[in-house]
Amino acid sequence: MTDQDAVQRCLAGDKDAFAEIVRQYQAQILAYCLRMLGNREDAADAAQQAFVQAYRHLNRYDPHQPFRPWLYRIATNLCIDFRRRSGRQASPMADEDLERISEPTASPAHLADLAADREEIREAVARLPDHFRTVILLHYFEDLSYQEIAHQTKLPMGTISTHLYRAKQHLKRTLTERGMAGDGTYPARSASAVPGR
Amino acid sequence: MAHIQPEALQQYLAGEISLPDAEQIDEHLACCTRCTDLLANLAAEDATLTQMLQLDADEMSWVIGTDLTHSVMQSVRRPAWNAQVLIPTLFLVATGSWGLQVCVNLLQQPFADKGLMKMAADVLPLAFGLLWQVLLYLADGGLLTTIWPAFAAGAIVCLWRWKRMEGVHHASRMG
Repeated sequence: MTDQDAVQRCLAGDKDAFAEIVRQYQAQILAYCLRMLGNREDAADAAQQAFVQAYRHLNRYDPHQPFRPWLYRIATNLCIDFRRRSGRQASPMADEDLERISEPTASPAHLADLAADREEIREAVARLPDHFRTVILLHYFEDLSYQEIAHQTKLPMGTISTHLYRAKQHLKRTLTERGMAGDGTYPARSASAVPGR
Repeated sequence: MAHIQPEALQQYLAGEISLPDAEQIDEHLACCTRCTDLLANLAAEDATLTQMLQLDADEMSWVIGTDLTHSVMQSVRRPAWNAQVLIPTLFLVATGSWGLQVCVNLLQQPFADKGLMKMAADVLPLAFGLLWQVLLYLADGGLLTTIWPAFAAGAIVCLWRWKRMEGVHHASRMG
């Protein structure tokens, strides 16, 4: 059953068809909300609300467009609202989370470096302005193309490219201030260890 | 030599650029170390960001282990409040509560003149009624579907009682 079929069934009054949509997208939306908000409790709340809102506004969904970007747009707006309402930045990773990085071949020293880098970068991303953080997460975390991001955020492709570049500059400045990015890349110690995409 | 804008290099790196533009950039990169270095830096940044933002094992197990289906479907099945439904519901709740109270009082009339018993007769039915509605709401998830029939019945009793009282007044005026 395609997303469009499920939506049509929901609109015809079959609420159970929506459960299929929730099952299909819940992991992706949860992961995205977790990165946007930085803590699990808020992420679960935001993801749940995103699905409920999507259901309540299904009649506004254009079936000629893909469903996933529409759902992500709702989740993005909710996460931004969550952050504004709580009046705080996303919290950095908990220490125990940082220690659970699974790289069996890496040395303990490298793992510690990686964990510290990860914490710094995630915190810097969490402090980005909403529109920058959204494009960074959609591109580097959700692996969406510029076109998909443009479709989802309703911004022109050129703006997405500019936002991404400026967001990276913003990150670089923040990390430089913290003494992390030295020679143009973010964490000098990790960048060399990371294989290309 | 005019260098390539960093935004264009970023797009080139992501493969989000037209073929003619990509060919132009290829040509330029073949003879410009500055732009080649910039491209290498952008690529390293991209790789770092991609790696650093990935879910780690613990987060991944939380995401996979969390099931929102039940909670979402419970919210979805619960009817949304809106003014069109709320106003008649409030009217029914108000008149229905009164009607139910009248019913209970009629049933307990023989005990009503005994102090505490009278107070209990007034308060308890209402408390039980409210508790019952809350339980129905929690069990079923649909407030309107469960309480409308009860309050509608109450409203009918209320109207019947009002008609009856009007009849008594009319008879006393005539008498």
